[in-house]
Amino acid sequence: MDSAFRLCSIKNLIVVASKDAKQAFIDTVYPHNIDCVVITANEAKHYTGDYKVVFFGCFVQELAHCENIVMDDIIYRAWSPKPYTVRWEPESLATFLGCWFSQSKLRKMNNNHSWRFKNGKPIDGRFGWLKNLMT
Amino acid sequence: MNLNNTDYFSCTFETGESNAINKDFFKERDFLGGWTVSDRNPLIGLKRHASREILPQNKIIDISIEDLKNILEGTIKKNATDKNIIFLSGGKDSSTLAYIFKRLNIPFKAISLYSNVSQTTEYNIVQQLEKKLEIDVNYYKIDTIPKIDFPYWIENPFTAKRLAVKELSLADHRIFTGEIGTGEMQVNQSLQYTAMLGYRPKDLARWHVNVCGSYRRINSVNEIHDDPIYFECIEHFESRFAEWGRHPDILNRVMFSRLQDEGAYRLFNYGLDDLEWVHPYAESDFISACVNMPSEYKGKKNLYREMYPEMTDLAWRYPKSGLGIPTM
Repeated sequence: MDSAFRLCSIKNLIVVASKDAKQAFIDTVYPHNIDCVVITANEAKHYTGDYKVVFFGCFVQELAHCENIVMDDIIYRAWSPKPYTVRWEPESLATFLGCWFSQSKLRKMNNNHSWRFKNGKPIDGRFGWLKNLMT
Repeated sequence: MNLNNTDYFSCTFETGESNAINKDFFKERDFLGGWTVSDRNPLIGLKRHASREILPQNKIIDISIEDLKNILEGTIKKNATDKNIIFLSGGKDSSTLAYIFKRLNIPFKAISLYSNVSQTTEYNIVQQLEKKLEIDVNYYKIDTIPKIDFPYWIENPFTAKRLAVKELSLADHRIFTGEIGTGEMQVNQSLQYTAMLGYRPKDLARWHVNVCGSYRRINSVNEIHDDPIYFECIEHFESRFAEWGRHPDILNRVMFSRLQDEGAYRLFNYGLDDLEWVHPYAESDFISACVNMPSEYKGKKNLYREMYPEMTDLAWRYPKSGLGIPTM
């Protein structure tokens, strides 16, 4: 669907090391957040614009000028001992990526999360420390 | 009341005697973020009636940009009086609308809503637009939107606009909105998905429900609830895709299969009040041409720039954030 590629405005890239990794991402994480385009490191070399880029298991120098995050260490922490482990499920990884992709919007336009935290969220007392952090 | 012809988006709820609240209506409304797609009514025994007009045509309409401009400007000229208002949000739709009024020398007052509570604001963009378009903007501060117990569909931006018109004593003006634009409401994700994996209407039907029900936060194509009403909503959008199956351009199917439902939702509450609202982009001839023309014009709301290449590109440079005002 090259015509669809031409029409859409690609802002968010997921770059993975290989074709197999691309398929794995498409099978697991991608269905939970379709607001991105998934490409291999080889394919990434043809992308010359300004994107937000998430790298898994690779880094592509040609995209170094873009705002980017290398996920390798963060993913690796899934195997750190408790309580320093960061558990990832496809849904939570997709959610993290969706929020990370929205960072530039927050920088340009700010956000109103502080108001929300100050006036109610989180409603569950267990996360009161987050309320203090965000207000 | 909605003054111009927006038949593709008409929606009425039967009124009458009934003592029984239809809890399923409200459940469905939650699944879609404030609106519904079925014939359910808040009261058992009564129904909702959606438009029977079919938006997709079975051929691509090769309308010229000049003709498209003429339809749009014709609607504006027909409905404008010597007292007009445009709500300027800083987005592409309202900015283009203001530009057209200016170009046609039609007098209007521009109103822009802003808030000191919310840090999310397009205030600065509107200020830049004010200079570029050489217009005077009336900035209306609104820090909370009063909580209204909407009997049918919930729409807070409408409430904020209505409040501003009343408080500024401009109720005798004709109010022009940028509602539904050229029909490209949140088309990027579905286009990207189609680019990645090909045309998958069943997946996109699920995405429509998920993204609307989560107020644009969840972009999942999976089933995320296990509820018969949730599945009904998905089936509704599957039937919309089937309806769009007649249209030869697959990308138009991808982009516009939610438009009639979401468009109806966006326009609905305007139709209930006593103010005079005009939605030039939702005019039947215009929107029909927009969604049935070749898809190559679409995707980035570039149709406006095709029509008015000399217009400022300010609205294209910033992401849209919305008002971000809490409902109290």
